Amino acid sequence: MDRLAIVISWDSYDKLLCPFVFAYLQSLEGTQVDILFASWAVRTLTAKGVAEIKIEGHHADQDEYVKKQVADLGLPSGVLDFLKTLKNTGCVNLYGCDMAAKIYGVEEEDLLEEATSLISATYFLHEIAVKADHCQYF
Amino acid sequence: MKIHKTHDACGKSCPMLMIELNKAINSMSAGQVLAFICNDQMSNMDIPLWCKRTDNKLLEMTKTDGVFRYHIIKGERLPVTPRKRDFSRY
Repeated sequence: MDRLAIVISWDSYDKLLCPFVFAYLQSLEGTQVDILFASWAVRTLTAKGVAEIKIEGHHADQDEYVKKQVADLGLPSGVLDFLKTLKNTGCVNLYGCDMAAKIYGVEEEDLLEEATSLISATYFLHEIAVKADHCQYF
Repeated sequence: MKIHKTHDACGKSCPMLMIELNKAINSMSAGQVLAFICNDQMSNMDIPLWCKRTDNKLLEMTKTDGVFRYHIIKGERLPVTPRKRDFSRY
């Protein structure tokens, strides 16, 4: 696989783990990974948003337990740490969806330095997703 | 056969097993041999398949008392780096 495209729509901690692990695994094999943070997940690319991430809903009371389990496995347990790890592979782009940024109140200047940029849904679909070997939606 | 690096990943399972394998091989030069040790049962499927898709060659695979030992020779494949995107039309 040369190129992997991933779309993430949720900023709940447990819902970020799977796409992050897939991205990490593939980036270490030299795959170029492009992640689009859409919907609420666009807030993950901001300092305020990443600090507020936790497990939501039905499993909310398991937040600390899950984070400890993740750390015990040897993975970065904090979302910001994981974003830095992904960025440091040199093979991962972290894009925020421009429409989601407008809806959920994210400005370009709010983006973490690890974020690549905001891009449009159209650009992601036609220039990234359709050209990837595989596309995953979370 | 000369072993250039030995990495013990006993106790590790997916995804850390494959993360450590990739990191170990990425730190080596083409033609060098890695001895990768683990006790994860899934490794006897995952590692041979990984070798095939990453152009690294599995020289030997042994299992003793539940511990797997893989001898892998690093291939020539270079990592992909992200291409710069052209946003000029926006």
